[in-house]
Amino acid sequence: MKVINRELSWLEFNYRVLMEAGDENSPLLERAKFSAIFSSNLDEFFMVRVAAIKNQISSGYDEIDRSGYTAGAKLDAIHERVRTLVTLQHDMTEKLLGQLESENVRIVRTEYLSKSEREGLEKRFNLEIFPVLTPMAVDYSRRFPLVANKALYLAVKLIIGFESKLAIVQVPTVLPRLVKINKKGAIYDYALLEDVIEMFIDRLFPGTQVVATGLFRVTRNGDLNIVEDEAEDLLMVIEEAVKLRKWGETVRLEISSGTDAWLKEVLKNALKLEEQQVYEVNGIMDLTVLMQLKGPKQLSRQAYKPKYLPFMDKKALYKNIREGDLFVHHPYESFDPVVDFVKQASKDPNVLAIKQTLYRVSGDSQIVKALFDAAERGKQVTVLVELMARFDEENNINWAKKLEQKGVHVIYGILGLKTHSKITLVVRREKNKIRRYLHLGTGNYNDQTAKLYTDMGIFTVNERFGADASVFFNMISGFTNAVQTTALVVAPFMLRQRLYDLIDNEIAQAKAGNKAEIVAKMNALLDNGVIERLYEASRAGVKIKLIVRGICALIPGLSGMSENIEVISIVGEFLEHSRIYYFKNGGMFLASADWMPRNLSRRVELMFPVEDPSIIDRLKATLTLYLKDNVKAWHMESDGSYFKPELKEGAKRIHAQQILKELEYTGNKTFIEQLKERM
Amino acid sequence: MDHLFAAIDFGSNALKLKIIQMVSGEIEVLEDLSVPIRLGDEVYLSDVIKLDTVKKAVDILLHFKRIMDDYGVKIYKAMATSALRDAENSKSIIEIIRMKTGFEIEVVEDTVEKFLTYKSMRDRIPNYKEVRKSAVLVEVNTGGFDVSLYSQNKLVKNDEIKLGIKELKYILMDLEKRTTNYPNVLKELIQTRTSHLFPFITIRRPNHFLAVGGEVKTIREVIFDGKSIVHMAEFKETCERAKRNDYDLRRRIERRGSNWYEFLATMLVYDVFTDLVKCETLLIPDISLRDGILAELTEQRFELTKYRDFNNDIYTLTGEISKRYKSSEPHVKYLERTSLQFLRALKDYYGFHERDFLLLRLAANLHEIGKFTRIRDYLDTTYEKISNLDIFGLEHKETLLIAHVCRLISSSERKHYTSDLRDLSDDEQIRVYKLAAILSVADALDKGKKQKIRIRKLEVTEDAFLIFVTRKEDAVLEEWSFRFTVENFENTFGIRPELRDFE
Repeated sequence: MKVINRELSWLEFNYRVLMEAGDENSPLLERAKFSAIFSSNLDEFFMVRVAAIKNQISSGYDEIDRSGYTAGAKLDAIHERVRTLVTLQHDMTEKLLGQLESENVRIVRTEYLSKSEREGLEKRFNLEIFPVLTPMAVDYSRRFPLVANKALYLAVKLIIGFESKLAIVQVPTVLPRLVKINKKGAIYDYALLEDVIEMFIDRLFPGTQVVATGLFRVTRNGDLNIVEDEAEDLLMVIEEAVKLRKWGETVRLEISSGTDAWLKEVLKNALKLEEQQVYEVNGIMDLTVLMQLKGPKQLSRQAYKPKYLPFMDKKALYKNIREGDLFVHHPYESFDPVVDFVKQASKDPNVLAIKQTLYRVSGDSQIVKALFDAAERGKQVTVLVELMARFDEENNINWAKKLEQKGVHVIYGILGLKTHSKITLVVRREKNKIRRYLHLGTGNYNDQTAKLYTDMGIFTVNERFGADASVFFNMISGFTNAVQTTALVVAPFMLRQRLYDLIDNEIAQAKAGNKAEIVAKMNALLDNGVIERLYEASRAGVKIKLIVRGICALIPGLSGMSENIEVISIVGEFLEHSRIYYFKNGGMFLASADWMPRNLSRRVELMFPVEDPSIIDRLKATLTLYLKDNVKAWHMESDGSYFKPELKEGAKRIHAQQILKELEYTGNKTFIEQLKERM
Repeated sequence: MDHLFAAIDFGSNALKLKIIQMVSGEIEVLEDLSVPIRLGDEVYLSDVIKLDTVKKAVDILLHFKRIMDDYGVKIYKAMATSALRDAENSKSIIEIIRMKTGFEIEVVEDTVEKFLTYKSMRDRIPNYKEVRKSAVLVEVNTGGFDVSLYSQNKLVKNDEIKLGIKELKYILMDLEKRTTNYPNVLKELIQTRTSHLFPFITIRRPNHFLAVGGEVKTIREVIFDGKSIVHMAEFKETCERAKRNDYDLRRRIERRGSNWYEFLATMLVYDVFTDLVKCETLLIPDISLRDGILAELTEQRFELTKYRDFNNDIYTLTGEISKRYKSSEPHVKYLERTSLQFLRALKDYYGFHERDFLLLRLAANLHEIGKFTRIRDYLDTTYEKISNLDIFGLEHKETLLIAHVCRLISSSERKHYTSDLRDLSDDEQIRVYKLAAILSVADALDKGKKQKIRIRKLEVTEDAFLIFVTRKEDAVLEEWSFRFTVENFENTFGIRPELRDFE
């Protein structure tokens, strides 16, 4: 079976992200943000994926994988592609910074500073920066200092006596990286903190001669290696592992191009790196700094206010849920009802219990506050906090501790399985009856990311779902491993098989001469079992349309294998995050899971059927809209590359995210009616 | 919330919790949870449940408690079955559980366990009436297995064979070392131990076969996709696969967390008994002790009558015993009817337990079974026979009460046997005296076993219990006998029974 390599496919995704930085239709600061996201994504990629491949190489694993690569060959291909992309990024960013400059937003290199600006910065250096700098001398009698992951450092070559010596200085993370030069008027002139330090570097080494400096940054292996079997207290073990992450093995060194050869060599040797792992950066290092750029309003995208629909009225929310399933599509529609669902429950004297899974929680989470309140009011509150949500572990540990202190029953999930599902269960006492209210979603209970990620959710009192939710919570409490559910499909127990069954059913229908179709939207498609079945479905004549934002290992459009499969990817203002699975003969589903091995086999995930016909229609219409997108949709080729077809002259521009933003359906016209008019 | 009910089954292989709510007379299941814990094995191998296991059980029960609190459940019953019944340290365990969780665990006797389990058929088998017309039920459990026969909506036979799954499992494992044909050797052993029951089954030719017990959930869900009715041929084929140690079947059973040998032993028991019937299908109903507990709780709360047939099974079974011992059926009926009339008349004045009505009926059924084997001292024989019975649906203590009541039916015996009642509590002794006094008067009124006297009216006055009667014919024998019961009755109730002519 042929597949595309996952790492290279991911790099193609990041390329698409980068291309957003070049979108002339977007405001400049919005474009700068995409360049920053590209960098931040790439950091994570090195910390996790490249580190994992390096581990394979060092353990001697050299098998050819399904995509045709050995670990070594994969690493070579990655480095090659990354260098191309980073060069492209810097070219694009330079151009972008030029455009920003004409709008009075500047990152000024120190050689272009005026005398008075220099003096102003010198004063700030002495008062604010100098006190927090700690130069570290490096010589053969001392170990090379520990260099923190993703922090910027200045390497300094000193002449002491007749010898060259190395010292390193960390660019402090406690200070803003962009130092505003001119505070007057609407001029946004910034200097980079590292440039300011470099300007006055000799102040740190009195009596010695600074002959060269170079900026560098390392990326380290960021995967937590936790032996859960031996973990008596998972909370403590993860806390420890998070501390250690800062000092994982180095996987990449970024260094300013033109850095003194001696400095570069010393650093490379000290960090035990091969030439391949060293990236010379021509321009600003660590472009995540662009996220901090401020400028005139017109350079940023106008803040989007999600729609607040009549059914969302918090006082009537529970009543509305009783009357029928409610559907929400964020960020186009407000996340408030999700927060209110928990808030109202915390206040309602008839609510007896609240159960929820938390994967990534925002810093100032309204939902967590509501859970605190509920516990204080004596309700039974059970929360699963997934400690191992990657790079959010520290945050989650903090929440978990706070929740426990408030008397919430905190559970940490099932041994060896991350709990990725998004579900809230509210048990309410009503007239001689207990009723279970549920919210099921595709995205995390995070009110901040809900403004940026497209996610979907359903509120329901469907008793079948409620009973399954109870089974689910018992399962994640670790008290039962027999998961017998009738509506909700739970991974890793049933989801894979259910997907296989659904695909097989479409295959059977196609073979019987009936119409068969699969439309699926997800973040990543990587699972070989699913891919194999999709190829089989394609061969059987099932029409398959996939909307895969990120990695897609499936090869579309290959004759005799996948000619009935089309893949598009939508990358835009909002991060496409909803998982929608439609099987013409099997129904419509929403899920927390992508079609990746980890989601189907190593995580606790939920897929739930959509049963309300009007919601199904809406989802179908939304999928159609995505498939018709001719502005932000990239089409995947059989070689794993992506292209954006030219918009034909006179063709109607269909920009799915923009249309969903603008669509007004609070009046007489329904969502579908309004959407039809726009398509 | 008085419409919410929970049942906890402290079983041999798992702790189970079920929570239901009654909405407009219908049962809605809110939780049905089973957490595996191997208590039965531990008890079988070491006679005790170890402290580590008790701690695990406490953790599970605390989880149950949390779930019950989630719904605000107040009405519950927690019952423990064979593991706690057989564990030497069961009293300490019950106390530890009470202290750590607040749950009061009641160790239920197997006779009551069966009764409750079968009672749940009412809610779990849609055509239960049809099934009860002609069926054999085989229940295979940790401590033993049971064979019951239903006929004309009545339970007519119930026998227990003390050969439980734990024992069968270890026999199987031992046999496996000696022969590759071990499943068939075990089948032969089961046949030998149960062959006395075969004629009862083959003669009645039951239309339905019900498989019940600890492993049936696995059988139903793993092998038959959750179906509760399966073709007998399909089932027999599965028995054969189990005997062949079929790899795929074994993998599926073990993947679910079940023990292969326990599964195989269970299948062998069913195999033995399904050989005896000609049913085309086999029922694997989803009935359980916890469903039975919930039936009892809701029945008490809402005074439901829908379980009447099942409650009556206790009575019909003792009736069958009475018939087997050739008791005079008209006399037994007369005695039952008359004593119940007396009890109803007296109940507003004297404290009786709700169960006393049933005990009195059962005593009427069984009061002279000793006569069949020994006419002399038949009261002693009756007492011995009853106290050795495992009466379906009754705790042994209740069986003993009936035995005492039947022995004291002759008023003259009271003084001889008073010392034997010392093992009973004061309350139980008084219950025995009261029921015996009633039964004694009723028995005297049919001394000639010709039902000559008809009770027309009963009246309780300050110092008398007036029995207004009419006579079909001369009743000198009965009136003479009645005189001997008066003193005892008066000593018990403080009122003198008097026969009056009804006009």
